[in-house]
Amino acid sequence: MNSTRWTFASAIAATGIVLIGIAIGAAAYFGGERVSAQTGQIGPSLAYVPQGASLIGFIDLKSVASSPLADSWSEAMREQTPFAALDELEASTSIDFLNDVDSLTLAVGPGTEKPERWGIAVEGVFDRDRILAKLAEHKADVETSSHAGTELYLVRSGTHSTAMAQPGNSTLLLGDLAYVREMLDAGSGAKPSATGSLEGFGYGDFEGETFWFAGTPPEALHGLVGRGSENASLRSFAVTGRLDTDLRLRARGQAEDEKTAQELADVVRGLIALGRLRQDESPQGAVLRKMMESFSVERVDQSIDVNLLVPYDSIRQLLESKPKVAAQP
Amino acid sequence: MIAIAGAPVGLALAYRVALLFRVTETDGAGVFAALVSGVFFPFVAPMLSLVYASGVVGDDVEAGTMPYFLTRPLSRAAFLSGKMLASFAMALALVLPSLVLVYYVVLSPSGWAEVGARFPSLARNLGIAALGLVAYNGIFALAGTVLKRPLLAGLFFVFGWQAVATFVPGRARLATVAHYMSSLTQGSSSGGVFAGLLGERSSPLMSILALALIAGATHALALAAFARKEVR
Repeated sequence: MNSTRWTFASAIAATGIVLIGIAIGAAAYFGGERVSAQTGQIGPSLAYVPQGASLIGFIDLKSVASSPLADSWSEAMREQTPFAALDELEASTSIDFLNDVDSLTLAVGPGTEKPERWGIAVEGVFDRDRILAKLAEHKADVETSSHAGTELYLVRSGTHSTAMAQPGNSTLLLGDLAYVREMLDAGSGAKPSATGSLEGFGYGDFEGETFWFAGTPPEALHGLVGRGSENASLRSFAVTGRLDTDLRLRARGQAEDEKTAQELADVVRGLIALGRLRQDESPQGAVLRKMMESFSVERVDQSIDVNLLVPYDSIRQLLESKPKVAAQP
Repeated sequence: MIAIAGAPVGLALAYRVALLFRVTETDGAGVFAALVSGVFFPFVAPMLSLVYASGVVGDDVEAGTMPYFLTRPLSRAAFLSGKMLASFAMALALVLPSLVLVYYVVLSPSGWAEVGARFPSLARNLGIAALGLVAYNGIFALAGTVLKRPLLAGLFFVFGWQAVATFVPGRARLATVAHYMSSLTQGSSSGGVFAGLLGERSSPLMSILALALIAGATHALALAAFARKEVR
């Protein structure tokens, strides 16, 4: 074979490798997309979040429960963790959060009125009759009504009341009465949902994230950044967490303009620098110092990104260094 | 050249061996991101481009064949355009397959779903590599047209200027190809070591425009310089 033929054959081989590689990857990607659409990583619960929510959050509990993070919680530490609270919740509602629930999607309504309107869409496997029977056992006052063709239960306990509805076999809505009604309207399509507004937070549709929270910053934060600016300095924020080989935390704030974003980046870098200066010789201090080293802050146009990688070992060390609470009788 | 392009594949195979013997538990996506941002973009892409593009004029001058080429009924612009296109194609033909092979070597143990989930990252990195290569091709072709020792100047650009400018405060990094390639990795899984070292990024649109501008301007300058060059 002469050199021209060698060149020609090599070019064909190189092109072939690239094209076949792209074709296989595309087939896996689009095949995977269909699976993802069926199972729904973010879950259909987002369809129940009304458009305009000031805060939206999502937690993939299945991923959390099967991650090394959950494994690292030893039995001895159960009293110090939310597990104890979850046990209490199971006793009063019959919902086993670690086994029955796949994901939680929470939302806070717009506006500054108090108390804030809120709702949680829970995805999983539920037995409505068992939940109602459990609530009745605990002498809670249950009032039944109907909205958009779905039964709505208002559970009163003392001065507090929580509305509950089960619009589908695998979805349970909890929250304050007015907001649960709005969630039912959004879920039925009578009113727009927040599904289409996720892109605006700068992380696409949060695909692949184990948990995320996004929204507009609370009033308390206004003016903190922007050096005396009376206007809101941050338009939106998003915090995401991915349980991979490490816990990968990312936060993105979108400022009103590049100048504000730069100032915010300077403030965050300053805080991180201060954190790195912290002199603490304890094992907990060493872990925290190591974590501070892994912070990175970047600004792109009007956005500021903060990234942090936390090894599971560090989380375990931090949890183990906490003083143990005496077991309750 | 195959050794340079094959080095990341060798590293990917080493990772597979380490995985086999449970020496590491790092996931494939992380390794791919590290290889792209730590080996392909800062080293493999510029080096291959330098070797091929810096010789577009010099090789024929040194071999004494240039005067014969210029006697053909072919414009100087067409001659150099063909040479630059060929050098770009050669670099592309080595970098892109290597990138694809590395992707499958490190991602395949994670399964079909992971290969699919990370595909946008592969597609994005292939695009960034192609865009970066065309910019490097222009720079090194221009160097090969106007300088007597373009290889030395190119090595200085890659390992001297680009390495230093990224750490110099201010806007010096905007005069590097590496900065824009790194900025384009934002949001993908390849924003690793290299990106982290470079500090603030430019926006994706700005990065694409900058790389296109660098590529267009340097290729045009190389053509203009070659049109005026007295070849002996």
